[in-house]
Amino acid sequence: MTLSNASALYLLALAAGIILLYFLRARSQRYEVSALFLWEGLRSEPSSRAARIRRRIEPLLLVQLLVLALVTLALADPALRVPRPRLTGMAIVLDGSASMQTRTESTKTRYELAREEGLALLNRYPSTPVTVLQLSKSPQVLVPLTDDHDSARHALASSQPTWQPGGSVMTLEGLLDSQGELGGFERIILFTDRPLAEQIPGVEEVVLAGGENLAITSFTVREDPDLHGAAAFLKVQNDTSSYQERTVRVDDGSNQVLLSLLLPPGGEQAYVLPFPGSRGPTFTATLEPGDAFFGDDTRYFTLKRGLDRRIRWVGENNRYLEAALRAAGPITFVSIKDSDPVDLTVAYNALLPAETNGNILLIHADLEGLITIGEDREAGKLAVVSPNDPLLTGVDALDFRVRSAPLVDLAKAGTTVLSLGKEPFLYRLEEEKRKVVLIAPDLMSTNLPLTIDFPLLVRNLLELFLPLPTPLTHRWAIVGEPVRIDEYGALRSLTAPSGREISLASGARSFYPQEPGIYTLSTEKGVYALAVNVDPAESEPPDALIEAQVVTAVKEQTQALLPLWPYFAVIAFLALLVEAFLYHGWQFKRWWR
Amino acid sequence: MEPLIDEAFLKRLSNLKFIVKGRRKGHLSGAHPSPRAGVSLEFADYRDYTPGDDFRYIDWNIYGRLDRVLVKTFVHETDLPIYILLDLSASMRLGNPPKVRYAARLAAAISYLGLRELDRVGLFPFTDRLLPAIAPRHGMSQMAHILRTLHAVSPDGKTSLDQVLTEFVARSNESGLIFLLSDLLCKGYEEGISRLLHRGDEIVVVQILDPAELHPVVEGSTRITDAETQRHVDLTVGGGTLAQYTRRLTAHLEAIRGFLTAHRIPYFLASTDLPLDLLIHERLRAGGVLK
Repeated sequence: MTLSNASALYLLALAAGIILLYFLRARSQRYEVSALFLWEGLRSEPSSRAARIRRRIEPLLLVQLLVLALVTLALADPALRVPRPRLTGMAIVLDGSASMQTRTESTKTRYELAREEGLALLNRYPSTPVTVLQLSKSPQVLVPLTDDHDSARHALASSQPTWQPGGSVMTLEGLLDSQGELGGFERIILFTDRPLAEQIPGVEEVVLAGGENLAITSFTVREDPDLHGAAAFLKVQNDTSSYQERTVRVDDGSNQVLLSLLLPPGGEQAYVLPFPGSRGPTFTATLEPGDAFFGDDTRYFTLKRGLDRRIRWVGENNRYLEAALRAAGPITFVSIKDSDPVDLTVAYNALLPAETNGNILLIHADLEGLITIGEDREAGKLAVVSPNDPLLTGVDALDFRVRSAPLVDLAKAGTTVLSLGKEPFLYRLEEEKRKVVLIAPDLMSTNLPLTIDFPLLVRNLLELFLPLPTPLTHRWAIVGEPVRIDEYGALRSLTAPSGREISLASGARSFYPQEPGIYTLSTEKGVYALAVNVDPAESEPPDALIEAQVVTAVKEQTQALLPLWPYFAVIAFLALLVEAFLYHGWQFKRWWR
Repeated sequence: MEPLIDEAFLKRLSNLKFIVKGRRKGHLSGAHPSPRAGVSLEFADYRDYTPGDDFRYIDWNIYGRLDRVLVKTFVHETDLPIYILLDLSASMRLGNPPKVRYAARLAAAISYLGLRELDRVGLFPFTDRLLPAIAPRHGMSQMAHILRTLHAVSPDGKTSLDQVLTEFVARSNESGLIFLLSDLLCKGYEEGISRLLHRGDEIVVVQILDPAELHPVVEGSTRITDAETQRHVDLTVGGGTLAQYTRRLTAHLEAIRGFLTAHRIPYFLASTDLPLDLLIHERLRAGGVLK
């Protein structure tokens, strides 16, 4: 309660006058009788006089002092800070950014708390025109300016937070401008977990904090030739106030590796997690167990290549080799006439032109100018020339049997891995523009298709041809930010992580992801995986100092002054009536009877 | 202002009659026995026949047994003057409701009863002297006259019962039934009442008091003021003071009761919180005033 005219309190000094008059005034009452002779000569009771006077008069004195106090207070123009029942307009803005999904200690998420606060505001101002907005990277008008509070309440109650980054000051201003002039709203209340970078005049910020968070703030994968696989690079942030034990699980859909962490409070730690044998192309890193905000407990990464390997087959078919290729991973055979680049060219009993580049697997085939296959002869003795070659990882070559093998003319010296006498059996060559692997005999002249190591040999071949791209060629795609897709070829379909197909216009060059996870992009060139993550900025804790300032400002602005002097005046009047009743109480009693 | 009496109240009075103990010489035929013989159904006595008597009243049975010619005489029923003496001194305005209001209602009831029995009823307001009065007359037009007067009464002035009753005896030369309606909170009533008794009037005294006069609700430093004289005394009233007052009032009332009882005058003390119906139907009947 505030007093606009505090100097009126000096009137309380009049209490001294009332008390003085109380002691000075004549205290006798008048009592009219029919016959005075019955009263004349009666004995007064001086012994009890003081007590009786006190008993009768003191309540009156107290009431009189109360009246003086009430009148003085009324003159001091007291006012109470109360919420205003009706405004010219009100905008309720909910921060719909991903971090609002953080679960607080009250078991409700920040967004749920914001919704409750918003509903409470609607109840507080039942007849105020209101608009309900959601602020994020992609802001939304949940309810345009309306008097219909039922629809506003429904929209508010059914709204959900997004996975998008938080909106900027400009975004908020634009959002408010879409509903009218900023000055048209008597109150604009923003419920958020992060104060705006700069204050907007008239915007009250209610900061909803709570919930401790750990986050994977960075995740990438690159080839590790030493491991014949990959290495995952992670950064993990601990925003709690204590050490935390967590496990990071990195999964490529087939295999997974685990890493136990002890995370110090308030810091970010970087980790390298070896992932031998992994080829991708999709990777998921998960922090276990989860915490209050699960959006940053899981991160996604994909290699910039198709989920299937595009293979151009030249020459005779061989279902054993084709089956082994399919067993190593999804493949798509493209037409010879297709001029688009492919991951691998397989030539079987065929002749490839000299200008063929890229990855080339020759089975009893020629590469013009480089490898020439002669007539078959009885095969010589099988020998392992390079036992540590990656092509032989996990392969026992001594189980191979060859009935006949051709003479081979090699224009360049490469690496002979296996030999048959003097002739190469398994040979590879790496040039600037191409990698070539030669299996000299016809497969059908060997027992390779029947051995259990044949699929391993084919898998090693593919790993040699298709290494992990370097991480420098990739960056994270963020929810709410555009992801370019034109470089993957003509669009056929795009599927969200939830399985929902995303419809894009023909010729669309990018799309705006709305949720984190692995998106599946199908183009004429193949099928690609696209990783989308929640903005790492959503994992950053808000500045506690700014939070305190904003909350204080909100409390001051959400109250209006209610004048209280009429109430004090009415109470003073009632007190005067009570005083009169006390003074003439006996007469009132008789009148009542 | 609320009417003094209503129809329901009058209906409840319809089966009541005054009881008159003595025989009076009225002017006209009425419902009360007269000392003179007359024509009625009530047998009075025998007397010797004298020429000119109506043969119809000769008792032939007596003549057969005693060989004397006697004629029967009958009680002569005559009317009765009823005087209502209403105290209008200033003290009668006290109380809640005012005592004069209660007295006026009682006076109206008495008037109705008297006029209904074909008696003459007169109203004599007084303070320390007789105020303009309504002379006793028959008929219900008198009732209206009395009611108008009772409505307009305004208590004021002092009380002097001895003086008023003496003046009343001097002004009315016919004895009758007198209802004295007063709070009797005064000194000097004995002489006046004695004069009435001496003239042969039948008197009924109804003393009307407010409950606060019987049990005062007053406490502390108080200026006690006489409503009639405006004289006052200053007292600090407490339980002891009130006890003294009660003793003094009781003594005053006992003195009145003692004097009136000694002269066989019916006396009724009516507090204004006593319902008028109760006073009339129970107290006055039990006191032998009504039947």
